[in-house]
Amino acid sequence: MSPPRPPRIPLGLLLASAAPERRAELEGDLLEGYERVARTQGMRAARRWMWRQLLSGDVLRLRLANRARRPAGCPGTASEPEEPMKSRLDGLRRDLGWAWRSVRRRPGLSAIVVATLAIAIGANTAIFTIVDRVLLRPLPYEDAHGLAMVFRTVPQYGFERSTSSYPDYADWKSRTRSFSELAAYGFITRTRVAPDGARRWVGYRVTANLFPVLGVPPRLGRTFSPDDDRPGAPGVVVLSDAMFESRFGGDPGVLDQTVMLDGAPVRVVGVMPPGFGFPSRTTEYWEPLRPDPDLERDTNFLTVIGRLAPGNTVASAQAELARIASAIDASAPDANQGFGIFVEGRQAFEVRSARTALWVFAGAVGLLLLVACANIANLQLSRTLARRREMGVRTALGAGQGRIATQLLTESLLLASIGGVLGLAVAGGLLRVLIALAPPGLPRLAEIGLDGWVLAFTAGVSLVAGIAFGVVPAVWGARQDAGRLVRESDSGGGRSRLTVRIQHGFACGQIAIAIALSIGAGLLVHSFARLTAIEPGFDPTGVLAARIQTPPRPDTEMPPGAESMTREELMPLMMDQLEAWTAERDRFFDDVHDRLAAIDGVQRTALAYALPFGAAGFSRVLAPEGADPLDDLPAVGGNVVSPSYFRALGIPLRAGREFDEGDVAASPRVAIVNQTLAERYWPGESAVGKRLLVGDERRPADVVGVVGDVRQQSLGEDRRPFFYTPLAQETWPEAVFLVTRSTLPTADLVDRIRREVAAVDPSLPLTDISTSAALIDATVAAPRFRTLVLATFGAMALLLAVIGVYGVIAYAVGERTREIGIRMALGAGRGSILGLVLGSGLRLAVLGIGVGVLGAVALTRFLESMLFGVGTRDIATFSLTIALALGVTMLACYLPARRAAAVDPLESLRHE
Amino acid sequence: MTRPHQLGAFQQLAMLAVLRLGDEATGSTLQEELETEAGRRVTISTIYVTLDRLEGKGLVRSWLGSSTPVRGGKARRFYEVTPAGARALRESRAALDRMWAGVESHPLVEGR
Repeated sequence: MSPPRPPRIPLGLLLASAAPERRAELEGDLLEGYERVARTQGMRAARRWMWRQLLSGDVLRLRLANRARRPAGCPGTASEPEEPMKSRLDGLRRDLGWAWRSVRRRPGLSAIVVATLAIAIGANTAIFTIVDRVLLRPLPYEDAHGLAMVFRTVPQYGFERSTSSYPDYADWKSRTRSFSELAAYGFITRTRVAPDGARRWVGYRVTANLFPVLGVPPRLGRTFSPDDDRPGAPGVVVLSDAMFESRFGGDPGVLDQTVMLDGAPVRVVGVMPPGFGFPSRTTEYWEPLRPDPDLERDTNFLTVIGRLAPGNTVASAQAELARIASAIDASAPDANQGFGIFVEGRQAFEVRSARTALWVFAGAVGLLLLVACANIANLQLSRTLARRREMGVRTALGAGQGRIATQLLTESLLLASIGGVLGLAVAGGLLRVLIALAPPGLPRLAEIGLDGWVLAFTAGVSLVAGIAFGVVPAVWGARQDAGRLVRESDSGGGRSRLTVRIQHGFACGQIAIAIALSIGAGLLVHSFARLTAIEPGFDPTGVLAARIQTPPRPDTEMPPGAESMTREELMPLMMDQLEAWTAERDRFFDDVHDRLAAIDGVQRTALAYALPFGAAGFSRVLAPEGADPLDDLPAVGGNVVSPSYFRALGIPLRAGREFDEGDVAASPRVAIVNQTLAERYWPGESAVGKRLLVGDERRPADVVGVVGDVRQQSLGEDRRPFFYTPLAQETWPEAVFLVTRSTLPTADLVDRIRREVAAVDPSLPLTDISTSAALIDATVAAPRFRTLVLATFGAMALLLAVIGVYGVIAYAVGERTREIGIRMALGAGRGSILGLVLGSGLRLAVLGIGVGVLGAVALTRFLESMLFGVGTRDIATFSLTIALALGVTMLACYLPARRAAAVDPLESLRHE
Repeated sequence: MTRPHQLGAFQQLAMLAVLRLGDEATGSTLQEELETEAGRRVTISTIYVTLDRLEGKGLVRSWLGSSTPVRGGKARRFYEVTPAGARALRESRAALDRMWAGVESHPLVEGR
């Protein structure tokens, strides 16, 4: 039986903390204990045991305590007089005092070290805080890791997370075993007319078991009971804390109060605690989802969430639900053909948009810290070198190597601690800036703040940094032989070859990391520039839009005596009713439109069902007339607009005409298409005058005009076919955007619009108020944030690397003053000295850049999902970054090179 | 300096373990003994620091043994209690006994 190999890290750390003369016996005792535990409790326990040996404050006292011992004790000798505890503490105090004095002796250098550390630690802490809060911490639900989402997928259209129908949900719930409970929720808005005006309530219809599944109790009152779910039960709602505070003044008397929502009485039964926002923070209230016979299997409006049963994982739930769903889908081919199932952990779902970017940030900021540490290690090494004589004298006077190493390490740790404290302040400020700049989509932002965890992290980073940059000088210091030290500094001898190599290695490493980071940042900057250079296809300047609901549509009312009528008798009556309502709606639209147009300072107004970068439009199967009916017809996005829409938004007309007052319900149906659609459907021909077949019912519409392409959702999207139909010919839109172009200040205009709408109908709330510029801006907020963060890190890394190179070269110049003097005395010109120094810097830079570029090639693929229109190995970005890095590095070398060239040969030789 | 040393509870346990182990008292065996017999799970560092301190007070002494084929050929340090240490232990025991007198039949601690 070969003895198991003990873990080397804890063993090494333990041995390192003991005095050299005690190491052998300590190692023996540790190995013996390790083998004992391995024998009796197994390898894992033994490994844990070894790590646990570190978890004691006594580890730090090993060295101090050991000094009490005689070199070699043997039985029978009298024990040494006790060294009082006080003197051991004095040793530590001496080390600290020495470190503090040496820090103060070179205030400039110390300030650079501390500032570098503060920036690196601050950036690390801020990013760690965000990563921790957004990605790592469990969501604020009971046992959040047990929550998982069940989505429908529609592979045919590339939908990965689609909604489900009520019958599907009910079937899954009754059959699943991998979920102990399944709940469902669907978006809903309702209007409450209060004395101060109409307000839209944005909320969710939820199954009664949703709150128990999440495991969050209400702040006041109760959540829903199964009774609330029954059809015909009295209406109840639960309010969010924000709603409770803002609309009801935080008055607990709101419980059991009845409010009117969409004209129906509902009772407030509960208030959720602050910070609870399910499924999103903007949720204002919840109401029970009542199973309704009208909820068909093809009405997909529900999102399903469940709690995994013990012993189940997301993967096992995925397998089981896919099985259940495919059995159900096979029996309902009309509704569910081609659907699939996707089960995803709730946490993974909530943070999916931010995950890649945040891990990239974490990686980048970690690299930044590495650069900072390398930089400081180099500075410290130079400083140690400059103090060789001091070290030599100390050694000659009897200070042990361990003692000198301890002192140097103490000094590094002292600097790191100061840097850490300042870093915490930097982190606080940086975090505030990051949160202010963060895109609205960054999940869980409200939870972010500095706390104990972050403090612990900062302390840890400082400690690691302190050891990391302290070890090299300490090891170096301890290696020196006293006699040589005194001699060397007396004779002005150079650094050892090893030291030079270490210093150059650090400088190269810094350049390499900085280059890799800068190339990554450069790719994002390039990509962002590409993205924002794209024209949206309309002129957003001065455009403001707000959505308004039409007056409630009375089409659910059956005409009197409907029960006894046949379908043929009923249809005309219903059609009459619909026409009457449409006429009423159009009058309402006209009225609002005219009132807005009359506002001073409003140049144009229009109505539209959808808005670019705002609410998405609808989509319809669309075919050019004469197309083979068997063709697989694609769905095309569309919008329903008033005649003035194109002019209000500044969308250019390419051919034909815009809609006009003549395009009404009674006239022939017309459509306007965008350029891409015209080119795709009728390549090489004029689209005007052609006919489109719209929707499954293939209703014909004449194309009367062609307009420019407009980006609908994001600047980066592909050009897609798009079509427009006139509002007067569509009966179905129940909410429209009021679009205005004006020079008025936004707040004033919003007030005016509110007043004008209230004058027409005070029960209609205004929602989704925003300027087009703000809407477009919101779509680039995420890439801008990523670009800004990474560009900052890249620039900082480059700056640190340049400082590092400067330090190394400047030191070398100082060291070689004599040599340079001799060269010049022997006839070397200033130009050749300049070349000599620049050349040595260039060698460093080229090597570092070479390694960095290789690193960038390996690392930039992680950026792929964040890039737009730029490849991960974009030649232009690579070359530009390399040129920039080379330029600044050479600039950093030029300053010492000029100093070298200015050396006076006589002076330098007399220098000795 | 005739005042007897005041021993802490763990110091007493450590010295008792040294006595119990006789000439097998080393860092590792002491650690095992303290864990199995006294239920004290301590790190090697703690044992070293404690014994160093006791040695500094002259209550324990130690010597390095020769290299052994086991434990990677590393030498063992052996410990033994000095007469002064034994005296201090007895003092501590006596102090404890004095304090226990009359409390033994206390309902709360009876029959432990």
